[in-house]
Amino acid sequence: MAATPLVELANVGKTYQRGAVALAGFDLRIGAGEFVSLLGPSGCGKSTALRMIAGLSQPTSGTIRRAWDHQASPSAGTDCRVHWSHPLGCVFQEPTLLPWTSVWNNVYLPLRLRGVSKAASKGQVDEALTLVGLQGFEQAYPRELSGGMKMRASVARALVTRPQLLLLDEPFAALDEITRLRLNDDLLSLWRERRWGALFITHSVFESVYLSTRVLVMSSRPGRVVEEIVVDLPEVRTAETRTSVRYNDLCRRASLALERATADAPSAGRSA
Amino acid sequence: MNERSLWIRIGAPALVGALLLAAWEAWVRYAELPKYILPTPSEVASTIVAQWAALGPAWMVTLKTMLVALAAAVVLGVALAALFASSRIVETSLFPYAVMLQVTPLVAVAPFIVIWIGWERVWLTQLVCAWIVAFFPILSNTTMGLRSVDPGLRDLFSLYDASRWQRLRLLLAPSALPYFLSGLKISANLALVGAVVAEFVTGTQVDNPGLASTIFTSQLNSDTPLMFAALSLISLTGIVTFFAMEGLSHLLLRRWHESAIGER
Ligand SMILES: Nc1ncnc2c1ncn2[C@@H]1O[C@H](COP(=O)(O)OP(=O)(O)OP(=O)(O)O)[C@@H](O)[C@H]1O
Ligand SMILES: [Mg+2]
Repeated sequence: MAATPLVELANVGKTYQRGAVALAGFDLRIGAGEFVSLLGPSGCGKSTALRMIAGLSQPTSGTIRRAWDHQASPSAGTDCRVHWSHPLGCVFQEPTLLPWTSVWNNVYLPLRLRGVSKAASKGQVDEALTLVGLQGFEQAYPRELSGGMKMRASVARALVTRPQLLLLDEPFAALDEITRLRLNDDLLSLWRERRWGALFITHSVFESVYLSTRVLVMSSRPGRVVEEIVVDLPEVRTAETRTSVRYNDLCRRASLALERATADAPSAGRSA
Repeated sequence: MNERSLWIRIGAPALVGALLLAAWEAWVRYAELPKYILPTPSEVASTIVAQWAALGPAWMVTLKTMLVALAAAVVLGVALAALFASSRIVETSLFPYAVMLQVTPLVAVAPFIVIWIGWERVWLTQLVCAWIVAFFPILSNTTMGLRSVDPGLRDLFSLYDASRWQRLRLLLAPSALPYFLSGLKISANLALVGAVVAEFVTGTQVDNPGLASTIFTSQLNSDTPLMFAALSLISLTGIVTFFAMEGLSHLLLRRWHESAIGER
């Protein structure tokens, strides 16, 4: 954590048109190889924060620093291997796959947009598909997949550029419990293998503690981080983790923090 | 199952058609109607064969007007739609005029076009008339298609710094395709309507008469069988166009778009 962070948000604020203040005084640091969960009530600005980290929207105030912003722009380089990697991967709440083409082409898309040929991408795309367990479905179209498989394809697409930082916005929230637990376990074992930094957005206390090395609890609107919980559980997590005393202890802490965070805003109004 | 449903889809309408033609034939013969009032289907068929030397070229004229007008509608409609979709100001300032072109009845505008383009270029006049009616559905549908791109996919393309060209080719074009195709379906049939109306408006004084001009002249000569012969070729053109468009959109969309995926 002491090393230069992958991404650092300092005192970031975001006000939408019509004066909706989504974030105010928002601070966040993600170090290399960290798995950070952002836990907060609905509408507190989690997606807003993620979109700003991804560069999809600009903060109204404060600064965002990304480790790769200082590096030379990859598109300017002539070494074609530089094009192959993109520092950022993103898994949205919806699978957001191109419906008119196959799973293989969907996973190939980020490389294609960087100008890498099909032949040169083959290894990387096949590897990403294998990582998420979708081998054999390369030629299927998105509509022929189940909800869980679509999310897997979406994760494969985010991983295909071998990112340094993976952003996940409630990726499995729309799935059933059984599928979600399985995908969470798969995600964790991928992370242990690859060690990208991860920012995982969720509103589930249990999910956040189970997955992360650190949980950040956000207050409701305007959102900011009000509590940090370092998860000191053993790295390999299984069904047994869920019954361990330490895990339940951390969950209780996160729960209480969340409760305080949600209660904060109105009570401040009342006491004034 | 699949083969059987195919048989039903072709066989059932064919049977209905055959029954109707037979009834028509029987009734005209029984009532002894003169053929300048209503010819029998067999008389119409033999007229098509006998007059093929005139009908064939006339068919080609109408077909050419229709297809060239449709092609021009596709090119200009898509180009203008791209312009509309990339700039709200352009759309806001031009859209009312596109609507005006569409809502003013063709028969009312055609005489002006005849005057402006001139009698020497009758075919060009007919072409412009057909183009005017065929143009709008492609423009409005394609514009809507280009605007209704999934915002999540837009974000995805921004995330990976897609160029304008990549966005156009890999995101906008496929997203707009189903909309474009449904516009094309309407436009193809309107192009035929436009070609026919234009021939009526330009009247009989043409060197290369089309099918509608043939109807017009044979009406003056009370040659009802020839009118029916020309009419049936127009209908045939319309039917073939319709199914060709259905086939095209099925071919392009069947793997992914809800409109083209039947129950399985
Ligand atoms: N484009 C926008 N224009 C105006 N206001 C917006 C916009 N996007 C979000 N907001 C507002 O900003 C606040 C935070 O939204 P955001 O989507 O970041 O919440 P969230 O924490 O992701 O919620 P959820 O858990 O329900 O996804 C919300 O109150 C919302 O009303
Ligand atoms: Mg959200």
